[in-house]
Amino acid sequence: MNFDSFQKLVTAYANTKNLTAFELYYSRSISQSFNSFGGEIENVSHSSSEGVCFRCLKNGKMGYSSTELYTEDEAKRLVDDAISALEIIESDDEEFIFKGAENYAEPLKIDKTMKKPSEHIKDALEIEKICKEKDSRIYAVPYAMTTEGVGETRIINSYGLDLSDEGHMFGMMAQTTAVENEDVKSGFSVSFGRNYNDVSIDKVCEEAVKTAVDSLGASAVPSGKYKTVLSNLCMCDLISTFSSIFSAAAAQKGLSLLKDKEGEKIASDIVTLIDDPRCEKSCTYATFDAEGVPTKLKNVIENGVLKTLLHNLRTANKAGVESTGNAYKGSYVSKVSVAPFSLYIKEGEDDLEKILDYTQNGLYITDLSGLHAGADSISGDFSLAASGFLIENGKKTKAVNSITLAGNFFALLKDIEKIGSDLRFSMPSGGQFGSPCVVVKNLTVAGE
Amino acid sequence: MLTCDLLSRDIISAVLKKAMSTGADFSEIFVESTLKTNLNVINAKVDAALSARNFGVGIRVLKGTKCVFASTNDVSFSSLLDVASRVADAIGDLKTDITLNLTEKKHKLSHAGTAYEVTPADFKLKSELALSAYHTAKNYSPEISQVSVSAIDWDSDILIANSNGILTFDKRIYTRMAVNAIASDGSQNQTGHASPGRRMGYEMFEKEVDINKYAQNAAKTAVTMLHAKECPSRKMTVAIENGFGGVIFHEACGHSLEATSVGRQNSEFCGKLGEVIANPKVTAIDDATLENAWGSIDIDDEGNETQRNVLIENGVLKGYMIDELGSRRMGMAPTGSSRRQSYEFAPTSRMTNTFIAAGNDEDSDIISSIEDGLYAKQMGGGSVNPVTGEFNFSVAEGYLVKNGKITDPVRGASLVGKGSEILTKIDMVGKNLALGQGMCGSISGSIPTNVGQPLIRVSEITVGGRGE
Repeated sequence: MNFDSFQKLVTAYANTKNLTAFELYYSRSISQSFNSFGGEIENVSHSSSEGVCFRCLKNGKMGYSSTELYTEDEAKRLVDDAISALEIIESDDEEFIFKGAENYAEPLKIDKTMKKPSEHIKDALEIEKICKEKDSRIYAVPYAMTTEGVGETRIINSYGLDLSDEGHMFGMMAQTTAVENEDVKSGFSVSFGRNYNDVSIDKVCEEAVKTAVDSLGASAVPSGKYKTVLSNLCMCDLISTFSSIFSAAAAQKGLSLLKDKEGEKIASDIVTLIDDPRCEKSCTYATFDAEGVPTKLKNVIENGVLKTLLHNLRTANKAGVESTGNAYKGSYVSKVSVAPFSLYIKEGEDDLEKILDYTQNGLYITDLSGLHAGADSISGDFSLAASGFLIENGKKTKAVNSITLAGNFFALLKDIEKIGSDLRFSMPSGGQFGSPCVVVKNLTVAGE
Repeated sequence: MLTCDLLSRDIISAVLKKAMSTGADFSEIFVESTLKTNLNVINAKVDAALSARNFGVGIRVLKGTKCVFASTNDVSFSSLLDVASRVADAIGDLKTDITLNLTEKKHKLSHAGTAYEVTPADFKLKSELALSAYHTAKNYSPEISQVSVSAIDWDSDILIANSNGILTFDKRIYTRMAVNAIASDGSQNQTGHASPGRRMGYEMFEKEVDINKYAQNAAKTAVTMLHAKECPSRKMTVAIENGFGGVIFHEACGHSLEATSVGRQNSEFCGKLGEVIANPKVTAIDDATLENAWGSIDIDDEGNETQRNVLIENGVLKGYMIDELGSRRMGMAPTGSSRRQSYEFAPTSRMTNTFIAAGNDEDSDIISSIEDGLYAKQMGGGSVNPVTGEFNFSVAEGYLVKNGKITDPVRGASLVGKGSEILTKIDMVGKNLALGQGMCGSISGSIPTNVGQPLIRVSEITVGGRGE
């Protein structure tokens, strides 16, 4: 049975249940990836998946159920389980199924033809080969990968709304191991784009080799407070980790310290934070959000002032405002929550060299790890394993590792002294996050 | 619904043969039907409830150490043959004739006979328990500003068959409840967590877990941390409490002992079997056979029966955790350690219940031995780079230790170091082993694992925090 036949079964059965409204959220994706190891294609994977989430509304309460199995019994289970879910809901926050809007942005024109495996194989082998040839200290390339995915999302509801969006994405990834004088370091680079031409084998290889080789011989610095330059990708990691503080859903549940802070200064004057659902520089492109509401560009922080939190229909209704079009589902299975599409700090004018010169003495941090455990979005506290370089007399000097970098994200936003011009977006994972490098007044380091 | 009802033996045979038709030396099919539910309580009310069915097939072929994997949720015969042809085309072009006799292999089924009383979509009992946990945590102190509780469970039916002739079935039921408590003074928030889980149905709350006790502990951590000062940053002696404290071994050493790392010469423990890699007080075990435990499995995701694997014995490296592909790379037998999140992932070597075994030191002696250090009562999570062995993890609830006495609580601490170094620095091991539950992420997805240890002492480790 295909989705169209299954959808008819579900709709027919749901129509007998006296519901206020219901929706089917359909998602389909095909992806392939290829990994070269030891000069051979060692691993190939291909995945084709589709699923549907049914949600239904009655007395302002919403129940959800989803499936990947299209049978007649499953169509009934889907509807029955969603109804038993809504019957248990006690929250007073009213839920909505969207009736639709007049205007939606133009969808991207997507060519869904996937590249031939032979072309991917050529690229994956090339990535491994180039990484090994670039520097004699590269001893292994554990991962040299290419990946590609196409996807489709469709929302159909009982009010007659029928929307769909498509996407196509290419990615390349390299992980390297460098060895010198028994010191072992690993390097990494990843690049994603909407078009094949947006990803470059040379750039990925160069970065994967450079990050490994440059960190050879790294050591810890003495514990203390340091003026710190966070690289663009490190700042992306922090914005991503703490992005839930901008969610009105989190704020309304008392899970964000930005609750009721709209209009207040929460960051340094030079900070402007933008959510752009159709940003040129990121891979994300969405004309409607997970509830079918049209997406739009907005400044979340403008010159240091919090302008808006991010809303979906439920949180907007509770706050008495319009939805910002930020309803989000991590996958088709998920309940609707709130998240940004492409959330990034607007770039400044100085390149990295000028930023280091401005900083004079301190640390240039290029890698943070342990974000899923060592950072708490509810308190804003973070204490993370870090590595990078010492900055001495305005220049990047010796490699640094085995230290922790600790601070509080709310304080960090206020302590940003300077913003670089090297805006970059991190790996897409649902939404995407971007930042240039930033100079932070001081952060606490534990080292020697 | 049983997976065996969905695919006949003839179809399985045909797909396995098709997948091997171009010269692969191994083919495997993994069929899964899982029903999962999730219920959330916040503000004293049920805020969300959902159920989800995952259903699909993963097909894998191997040729030497090359691997091709494909997954789909279209399980029609024609679709499966298409997928089988795709993996066959990707692995080679040698035409071969294959004969295959599938023989059903029986194994111990932990869930056999114990009917899962609470059907996954029966939300009533789940909401009552979650609300009870909510109120226990909320009522702990007026400083508790918010509590969220999520109840998760899933029931999986699995079929695994491969070209070695194995055909086997498994049933896996998991239940977990997570309590997150927030203490606030208006301008600052601090959190406390507890999330017990078992490979059982809801009977876990009658037989093994008093959820209100966990809820109270989560609230206590949050309130304690609200009044704690910032942890100082420097090298210290650290005592790490039992249970989830075992995350230190999991991150610092466990991942580096998986064939995924070792088999690709990507681990600091390659080629060290029989060598002393840890303090003689350290014995470490990965045991998938513990009854009802969160990390236990009766068979692994390649259909092999699981076992108790001794990794380190009195400081000497004794073994690795090995799957089929790792076994081919390393020339060693598989250890029943192959796992995957779902049919969408190719399996690889993973941990199950991994712990440092009980030692001979008294807890009181461990604390009184520390002149100036840290007592990590509750650990958060962590991560490791297996190539360099560099790990980090966070301390959810910590206390300073002065002159052998536990003193002031401290917040925001993290511990960083290198796996091979920390192993030699574990110089005291207590007697009271306990396990803690986590979800472990790696290339074959996110899977339930237990970490564990008794109270241990690490003679010196870098502690990061924001304090002086």
